[in-house]
Formats: sequence, structure tokens, C-alpha cells
Amino acid sequence: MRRRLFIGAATASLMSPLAFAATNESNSVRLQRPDLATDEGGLWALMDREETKLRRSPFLLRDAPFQAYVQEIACRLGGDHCPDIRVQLVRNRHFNAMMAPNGMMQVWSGLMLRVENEAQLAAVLGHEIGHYVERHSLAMLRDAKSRSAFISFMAVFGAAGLIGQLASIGGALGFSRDNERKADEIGLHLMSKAGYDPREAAKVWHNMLLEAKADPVLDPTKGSIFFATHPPIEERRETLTNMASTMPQGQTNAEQWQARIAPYRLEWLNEEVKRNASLQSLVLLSRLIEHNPQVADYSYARAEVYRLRAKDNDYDLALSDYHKAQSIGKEPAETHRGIGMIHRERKHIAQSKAAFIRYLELAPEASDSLMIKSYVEETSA
Amino acid sequence: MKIISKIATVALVLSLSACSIFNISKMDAGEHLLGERLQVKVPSAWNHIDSHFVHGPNAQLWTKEGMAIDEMMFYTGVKDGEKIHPNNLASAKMPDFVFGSTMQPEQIAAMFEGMLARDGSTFKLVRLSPAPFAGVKGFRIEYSLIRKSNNVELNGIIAGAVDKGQLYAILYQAPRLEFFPRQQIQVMQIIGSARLKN
Repeated sequence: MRRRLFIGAATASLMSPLAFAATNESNSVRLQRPDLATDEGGLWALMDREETKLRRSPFLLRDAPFQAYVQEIACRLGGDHCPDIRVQLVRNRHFNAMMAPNGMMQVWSGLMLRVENEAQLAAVLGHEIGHYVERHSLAMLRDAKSRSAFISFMAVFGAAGLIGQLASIGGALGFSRDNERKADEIGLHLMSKAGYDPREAAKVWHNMLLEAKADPVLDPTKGSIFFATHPPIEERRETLTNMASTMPQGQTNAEQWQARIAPYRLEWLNEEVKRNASLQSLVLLSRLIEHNPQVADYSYARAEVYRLRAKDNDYDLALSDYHKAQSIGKEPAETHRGIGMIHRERKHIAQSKAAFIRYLELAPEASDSLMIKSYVEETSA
Repeated sequence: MKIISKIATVALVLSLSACSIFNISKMDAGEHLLGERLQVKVPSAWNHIDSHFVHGPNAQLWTKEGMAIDEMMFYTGVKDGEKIHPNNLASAKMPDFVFGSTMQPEQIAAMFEGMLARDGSTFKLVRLSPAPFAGVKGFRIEYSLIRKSNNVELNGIIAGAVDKGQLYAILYQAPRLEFFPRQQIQVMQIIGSARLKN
């Protein structure tokens, strides 16, 4: 059952350690496939079909070693549930992960770009496993059923009916506040038990909050019916911080994570740049640069955001980042294209020509090579 | 299972509502003036979908095979600061894409890429090249797109130019295997026929 993880939020939990121990005990029992005649059985069957479709989807990231790596993290978290969890990596630039009641877990590339280390990924996967072991989808399904009368009622009223239907769908696709709280608790304890630093969980939501709030227009927490039914992310962050403070510290495995995503990083960054959400992208990329100052891709991507926004002193900022990427080394070829484009705009003929020539040397088969060659020729004319 | 039937019912209601609010008219073979300046000659009849409330006043949507299959968009003088396909679903919280009169072809390609992929579809630039359009210096963008909603792989082409600070362009996209090749020759003829009235 699809839903945006980041919009599912949880508030403070006052569960005692004893109560959590009891929860853990019950959660270790593997789920059995429900009878098809039941509503839960129908939900599983539906998710089975969705999983079959997903396996054929062109959006699936078909990288067996990478998939096995994330699966291994999920298994470390899921413990006895490991045989029932099937991780699928999905190419989608938005921050999201989800776990269906039949054990299918989706992890989107937008999430993988944003988490800084394995521990942060584990926090999200653990949260999803929390929903799974608690069978929250069933509660969501039954809640959605109870809305049917509301849908029919609203459908009578034309446009208002449409709004009502959308609202009902939005509500139907989200877990309740209590379920989000529970999943957060379980996720935090699972990641701690697996040896990850539980303090990283709050950072996921802190980072999401910074990004969401960077653009008041695009802030998903404002004006959304979906968000209105959930507690604020701020509360979730505080709760997780407090809970983690009582737990042992663990590993983050930042280097392992960065090495693993390296082959995909530039592709994911280019997709983020083209999202045209410059304020949010700048917050995201500045954070990633701060955490990975030695990775040229991040400086290149921030330069691209500045260049495409092209306001005020954006070109100066872009040039600064492009040059930083160059100084780091192993910069993307497109770094030189960007430099060339800015100099071309500024009528700096020699500099633009030199940058374009360098770009074409590094990427002779680039999809825009014909256009760039025409720029070089125009400077030669 | 009932949740699915409910969602399907809602989707059906929404799609039917959408159909009923689009006016479709036949565009005969021959010359057509689109907007104030863009003139094209079409070899055979097409369907014009009146979608100005979705696409704004300076874009027109045509289709040969049907809206769900192929789309030909005419951009008939998009002004500086004007949105390309405004995001009308306020709750969706997706960025809008705005044309700027000083945009270079590479920036225009990025604008179209962002717009076409904002629903989660996957865009791949196949080729960006200089090409005259409507008698002025222009650009051509060839791309592929995997549509998020149904996983269909599309091919697309955008031919255009910026003249007097306004964007004039023709975009055509259709499923890669059958429909794009079927209409490709005619689409190229339409692109080749484009002229800008003074």
C-alpha cells in the first residue's frame, strides 16, 4: 500500500522499556499468509499482483549486488521476519519507502540519495518493518472501508464531491498517528539492536524538515489534507532524539553507504536538479556537500541548480561550485559544459570555448554534443 | 479487496469528469494559424483538444490516435515568465516550470525535462541539436520517456525557437514501439511546415 513515508509522522511515545520488550516479543513471530476469503487475504493478493508488476517495471533498479546489500540491511533489522521481506529498489526521485503487508518493500532512489549513511537508511527501513509486523495496513484498509459512505455521499455534489473523494483517498493511504508512533518506536529499537546508531533516526526527519521548509510554496506539510491528519515532523524528531538518548550508540557506516551509491549518484543528482525545486535542492545539496566535501558530484549538482535558476548572483555561485568540483577532481564532464554556458552568457568567448572543448573531449558522445559543437563553431566564426 | 473497487470507482469518476470537460474538434488537412503567429500545414486531419484551462492560453493540444496515446503540443508564443503546463493540482505540491526569454536551448531542454518528469516519469535526453524552426534559428530535442502512470515507453521530439522573446515549439510524443513511428513522418512534415507570421 503506497504512501509517502515522510508524511507519516509520529509524536512522543511514553512506552516503558518493559512495554517495548513485550512488543518485541510479539513482533518476532513471522506473519502467516491470511485466508484469501478475508479482507486481509484480499489485500495480500492485491499486493502480490502489484509486486509482480513491479518486478517487470522499467523503474526497477536492476542491480543484484546493490539489492542484496539493502536486503541484508533489512534482514539485520527484521530478524526472524527476514525470509518474508523482499526489498525492491525503485528509481524515483522523491523521498519514499514503503512496505506492503505481503512483505514487499520498496526503497526509492530519492530516499537513497538523501540518507547520509546506512544507519539513516536503517531508521527508515526499520520504521517500515514496524508497520509490517504490526499489520498496520489492515487497520488502514478497514479504516478506508468505513469511509465508503462518506465517498458516496460527497460524490453527489459535483466538484465538492471530487474534493471529498480526493480527501478520502488521501486519508485512506495514510497510517494513523498511533500507528506511526508505533512504527517509529519499533524502527528505532530494531536499528539499535542491529548495531546502528539510533541518533541517526532523528536526523532523517531533521533533514526532511529543513528541506520541506526551504520552500514555503512546495512545503508538503502545508495545506495538505494528508498532513493535517498526522502530527508534525518536529514532534517526531524530538521524540526520536529523546528515545535515542537512552540507547547505546552504534555504527553509521557512512563510507560503506557512499561507496555503494557512487555508481548512481550522478544520475540521481541530475534528476534532483531537474526537479526545479531550487530552494529545496540547495538545502539538500549543501548538506550533502558538508558531509561529503571530497565528492565532486555534489558541488557540480549545486552549481547546476544555481545556473539553471539564474537569479541575482547565481552564476557567480555556480562558477564557484563548478571550480570547487574541478579542484576536488573526478568532476563530471558536465562541469565544463556548465562553465562554458555561463561564460557564453557573459560573452567571455575564449573561456566559454575552452570549457566547451574540454567538455567535448571528456564526453564526445554526449546527447547535447551537437549543440555544444555549434557553440564552439560560433566562437570560431 | 473492496478498497480497490472504491479507488477504481473514484478514478473512473475523475476520468469521466475530465472527458466531459474537454471539447474535441476536428482539424482538417491544410494550413492552420495557431495563436497569433505560428502557422503550420498538416497533411491529414487531427483532433484538437480544447485544454486552454490546463495548458494556458499559448499552448494547444492535438492528438491523432487519442489523448491517452499520442500528444502533439503547439506552443504558440509563450511569454517571458509564463508557466509551461501549470501544475493545477494545488495539493500535489509540484514545482511549476517557467519560460524565460533569455533561456538557451539547453535550459529550455531542462525545462521540458523537468516538466515531463515531474510526475515521476523517467526522462532521457537522446539528442539536443541546433535546427532551424519556422524560419529562424532554433533547436531540436529528441527524448525518451517512461511514463510513470503505466510504465509505457514513449519517444518524443520537440522542435522550437525563441523569437521576439517568445517560445514557439511543437512537441510530439507517443509510445515508442508502434505509434511514434507511425506518425513520425507526418510530424516531421508539420514541423518542417512551421512558419512565423510577422
